[in-house]
Amino acid sequence: MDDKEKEIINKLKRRISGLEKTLQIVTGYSGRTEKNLRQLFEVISGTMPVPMVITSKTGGLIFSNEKAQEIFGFSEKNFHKTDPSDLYEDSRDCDRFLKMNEAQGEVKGFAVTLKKADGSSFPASLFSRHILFEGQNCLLTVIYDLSEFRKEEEKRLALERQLRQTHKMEALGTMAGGIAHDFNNVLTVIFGRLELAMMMLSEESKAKHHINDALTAAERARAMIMQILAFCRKNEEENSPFPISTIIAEAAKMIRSLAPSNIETSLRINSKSSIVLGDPTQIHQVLMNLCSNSIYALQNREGLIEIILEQVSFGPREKITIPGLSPGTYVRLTVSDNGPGMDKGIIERAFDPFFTTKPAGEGTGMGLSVVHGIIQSHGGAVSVESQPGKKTAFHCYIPVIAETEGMTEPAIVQKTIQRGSETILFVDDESDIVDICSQMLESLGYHVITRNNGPDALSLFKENPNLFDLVITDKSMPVMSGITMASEMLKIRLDIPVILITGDRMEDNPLSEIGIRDMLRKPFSRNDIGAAIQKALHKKQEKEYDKS
Amino acid sequence: MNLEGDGYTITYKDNIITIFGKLSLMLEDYEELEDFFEEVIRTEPSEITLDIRNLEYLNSSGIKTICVSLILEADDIEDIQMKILCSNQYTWQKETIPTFEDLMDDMEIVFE
Repeated sequence: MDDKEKEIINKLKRRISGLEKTLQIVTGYSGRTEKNLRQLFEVISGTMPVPMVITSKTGGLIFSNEKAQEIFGFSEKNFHKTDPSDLYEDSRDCDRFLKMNEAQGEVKGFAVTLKKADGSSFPASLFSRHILFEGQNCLLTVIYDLSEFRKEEEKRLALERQLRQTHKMEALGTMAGGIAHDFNNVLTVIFGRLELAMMMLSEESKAKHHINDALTAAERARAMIMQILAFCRKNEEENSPFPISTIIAEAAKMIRSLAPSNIETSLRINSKSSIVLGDPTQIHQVLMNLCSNSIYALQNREGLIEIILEQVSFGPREKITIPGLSPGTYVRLTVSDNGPGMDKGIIERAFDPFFTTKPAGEGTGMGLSVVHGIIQSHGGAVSVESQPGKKTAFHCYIPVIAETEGMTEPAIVQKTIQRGSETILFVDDESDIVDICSQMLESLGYHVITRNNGPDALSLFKENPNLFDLVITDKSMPVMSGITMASEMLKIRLDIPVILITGDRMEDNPLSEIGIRDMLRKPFSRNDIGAAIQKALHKKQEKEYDKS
Repeated sequence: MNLEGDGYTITYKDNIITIFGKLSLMLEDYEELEDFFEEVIRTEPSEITLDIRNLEYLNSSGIKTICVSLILEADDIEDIQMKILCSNQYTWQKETIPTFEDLMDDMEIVFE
């Protein structure tokens, strides 16, 4: 072997040794890098708040992070022993998911219902990609738990449904209010004609019985119109402060006496001092309507109706789930029964006017609509809780305006009807109403001059203002409203008493400030209008007496 | 002499090879770098400085390429002086570069 060959051999030996050392350097480096990457993976998968699993291509679990074990309720060991199809509520979904991954290479947003160790299920969306893990072709799947999202979505949908229902009822209310106004005009004519006919008949007349029946029917129609107006919040409200507990106690007493013996009633008042602003009669009606539904629900079975009155408060930061309520203090009137309950479909329609589950002829379907209308007109809201086979509870929230130890009971005014001989100017654009009312007033002894519109009546009044002792005018008339006409007349003669008649609700105008003495809602009886006239004339006399 | 790739730049000037950026190519993609080092070695410099102070990351294939195509080839040049300038801020350099001393006698490794 010559020197050159030896040199080449030495060079090769050196190179082989160098390559061996290089191999050591590179493998050492790779080992460290591998270890670091594994650590990184474990930290990421253990820290991330999202369930993540790595499965073989056949679905067998190879790796699961802590969040996945927590959400499925398995220990790591048991989780990995689980048959993958057992994690799906519908085991066919497992196969579908794997096939989709195979076909598309990745899956985004696979909607599925997954099953936990305890057998309960939850909605989820799966996102998956192929990866190489520990030398195997695997699937990395991230599980997006949709439970909370679904809950929020359901809440949102429920609120939307309630809002739609509120809008629907408001629209119905507007329509019903218009119809009620027209019906009141018609009823005024019917009442007037019937009363006049009755006066013309002798006590022995056979027709008197029929007219009486017609008057009773007209009364029922008036009550129904009142209910419609209560529903659409277009009736005249008393709007005075009163302790609600007194009214509830009175109404509960009445319900106790009316309920059949198979039904037990219980009353719990936890809010004796709460004062609300509104109409005690309407609140009475709310409780009567709710209890009457409960009594019907409990027919032919032993049952319990619970009435609870309590004060509740909602803070400004509190999430209020009852539409229509804002932060504040309310009394909550709850009427619950252990009847058959209601399903979702009935609950959704429960407050719809004319909706009833009672057989034909047994219910008008207005009870709960009226409750809704009354509570809303008191600035509150109604909610209902019920499930088929479980108890039903209606909660009425009414704003509390004050608290006190005791309030005086509203005084009951006894109406006395007197005849008169004064001259009355009667104005209404409905000729039927003008005709009937003038006859009714004449039958009470008054001298009546009529006009069919504001300008004519005003012109007549201007000619001889002292001719009249009283003006009775319809509120809504074309060309010139009753209020405008009355204001003009009062400019001419400040002391002229004016009574306004209307078929709908009077707005909150300060009528007394513009000089209008009283307001009468159609339909009214001869007695009603007679009493209103006496009241207006009496006030005038009091004023004259004060002046003298 | 320059070599530029996705995320890295390599220059050779005045016997100094400077590498910037990150090098994480597949083994077969280091061919260009091997050719670059071959060009450097062909000039038979008396000294070579490898400045990797701004080399943020180098994968195992890159380590192999530097070891075999630069250091072992340079070792064949008689009396050559090899110096590697490293940065203390990169852990991979601190862990790996000192092991390069086994490949060549009198190699100087400087950390700053």
